[in-house]
Amino acid sequence: MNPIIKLEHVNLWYDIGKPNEVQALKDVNLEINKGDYVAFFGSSGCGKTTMLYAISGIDRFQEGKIIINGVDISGFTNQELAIFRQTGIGIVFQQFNLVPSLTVLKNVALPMLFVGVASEKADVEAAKLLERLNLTQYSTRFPFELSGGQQQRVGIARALANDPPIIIADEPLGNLDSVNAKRVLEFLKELNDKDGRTVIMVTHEAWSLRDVRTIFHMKDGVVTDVEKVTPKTVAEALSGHLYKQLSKEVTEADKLQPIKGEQLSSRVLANFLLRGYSKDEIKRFESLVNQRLDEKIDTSAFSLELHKPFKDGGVGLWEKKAERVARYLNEIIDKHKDVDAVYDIIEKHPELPILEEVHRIRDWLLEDHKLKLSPSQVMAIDQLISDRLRGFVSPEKFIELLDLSNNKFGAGLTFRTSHQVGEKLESILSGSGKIEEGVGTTFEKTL
Amino acid sequence: MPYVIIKNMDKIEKKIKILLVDDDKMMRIYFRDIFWVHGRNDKYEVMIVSSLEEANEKIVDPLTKPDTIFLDVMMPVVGGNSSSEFHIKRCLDFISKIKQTPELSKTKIVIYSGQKDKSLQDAVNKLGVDGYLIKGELMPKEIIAFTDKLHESNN
Repeated sequence: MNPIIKLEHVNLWYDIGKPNEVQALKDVNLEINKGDYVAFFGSSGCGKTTMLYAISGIDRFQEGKIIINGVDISGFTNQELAIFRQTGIGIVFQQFNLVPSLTVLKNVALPMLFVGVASEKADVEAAKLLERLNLTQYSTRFPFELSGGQQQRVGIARALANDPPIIIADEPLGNLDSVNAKRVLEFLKELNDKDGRTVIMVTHEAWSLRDVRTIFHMKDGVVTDVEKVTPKTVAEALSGHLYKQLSKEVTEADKLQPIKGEQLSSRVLANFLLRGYSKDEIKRFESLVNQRLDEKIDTSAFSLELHKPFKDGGVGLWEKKAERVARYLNEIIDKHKDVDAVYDIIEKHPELPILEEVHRIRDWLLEDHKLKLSPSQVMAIDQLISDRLRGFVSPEKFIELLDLSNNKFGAGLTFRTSHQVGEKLESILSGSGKIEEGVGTTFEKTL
Repeated sequence: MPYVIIKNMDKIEKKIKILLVDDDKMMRIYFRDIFWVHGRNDKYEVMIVSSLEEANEKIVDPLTKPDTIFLDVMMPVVGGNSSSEFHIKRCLDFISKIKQTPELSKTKIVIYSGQKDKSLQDAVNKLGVDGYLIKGELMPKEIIAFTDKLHESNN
C-alpha cells in the first residue's frame, strides 16, 4: 500500500540563526498508511506538535521532504499550503480555537467558505455535521455558551467541514473531563474505522492511545521507536498501553537519558501556565522562567518582562495576569524548598511520617479548586501525594489514580482537576535535582 | 519465443486527463487538490490553466490532449472587452470549435461556473456539453463523484 504521508530526512529548526535557535525535528523518516490511526507520543517538548505542524503545512521545515499521496509539499507556496490544509486536513485543537463572534453553525461552515463553497450550501453541510455530532440544538448558540466538551465536538465538526481524508488531533483531550474525553476518543475512532480517514493524534497521555494502531515514540525531536499495536479489547489495550508506557517512561526515558531538571521544570511550567499561547510566546516565557528559577531576576522584573509586548522581548501578558503568574512562581519557588526539606527527611529517616508536609502540599495543590471532599477522598489524596513523593508512582499514574473513582481506591477527582493537580505537583517536583536520587534511595530502602 | 508477462497492468493503464480552465488561481489549486488529497491521482491526471489560449495549447498537443475539460465562463482577457456577452461568446465559440473538430469530438466538456443563468445553460446544452456545474454548490467529494460518473464508460 502506498503511504498517504511520507517523511524523508525532515529537519526543522525554529529561530534559525538566533541565540535561541532550536532544532525541533531531527532527520525524521516515517510512513503513515492510508486509513491508519497513529499517534505521536512523548513528553512535552519532544517535537510531536511540531511534527503535526510540519505535516499540515503550518510550520515550514528547512530540509527534507514531506510527501502526501506521492506529491512533495516542500516546494508549495503559502497559498498552496493554505488550500491543502483546507481540503486535505482537518485539525482538532486542544484549545478548540472556535471563533467567539460566530455561531456554532457558522464556525463549522467557515472552512467551506474559504474554498469557495456558497454560503447557503455551507450552512446545509454544516448542519449535517452538527447533526452527526449531536449538536443540532446548539447550532445558533455562540461558543462561550457551550461546555468544553460541546466546544470540542464543534471543533471536530469544523475539522470535518471540507471532508478531509486526514484528521489531525493535537492533544484533543487536554481540556476535557473524562466523560467528554472518552466521547472524543469514540468520535476519532469512528472517523477512522467508519469513514476510513487517516487519523493522527498527538498526545502525552498513554490512556488516550487505546484505539491507536501505530505509535511513533518521540524524544528530543527524534522518532525513537515505531510500535505497531493490535488492540485486543478496549480494556486490555488500555491497561496494556498504560503499563507499557509508564514503565517505558520510567525505565528508559528517565533513567538512561535523564533530562536536565531545570529544563524540564521550566517547560512543564511554561506549558501549564500559558495554555493557549503560541509556541514562540511559550518559548520566550520558558526562558524567563529559567532566569527566575535561577534567581537571575527578581519577582518585579519577571512580572515586568511578562507584561512587555512580544516585539520588545516580553510575552505580552496583561498586567494582572503577569502579576498573578509571578506570584505563582514565587509560591512554587518557596514550595520547592519545602519539597527539598521533605526529601531530606525521607532520605535520613525513611520510616518517619511525613504527614504534616503532605498535608501542606495537599492544601496548596487544592487551593484553586473549590472541592467538597469526603474524608476517604482526602485520605486517598494524601496517600497518593506521599506515594508520588516517594517515587512509588509515576506522574501519569498519579493523575490516573486521582481521577479513578474513590470506591476503586482512587481519589475520585474529575479528569480536569486530576490533571491540574498532577501538573501542579510536578511543577514543584521536576525541578528538583534531588528527586532522582531521592526516589532511588527511598525505593531501595523500602524494598 | 520469449515473452514478457506484464504483472501490473494498472500501472501502465492510461490516466484520464482532465483540464480545468479557470482564471481564478484559488479555484485552480482547489480543484487540483481535491483529486490529489483524496488519492485519485492514480486515475486522473489533472491539468490546470488560466485562459482559453493556454487551454488551446494543451488541446493541440497530443501529450496533453485532455479527455475532459472543466470550463469556467467568465474569464477576463487582458485588454479585451469586459462585457459578459463577450465572455459568453468566447466560451461558446471555444466549445463549438472543439465539438466541430473531428479528432476532438470525443472530448467531454463540463461547464464549471458561477453563472446560474438559464439562457446560458440552454445555449451550452445546445452545443452538446456533458454537464453544467455551478461553483460553490458542490462539496469536494461531490465533484469527484460527478467526475467518476462521467467517466464510468471509460472503465
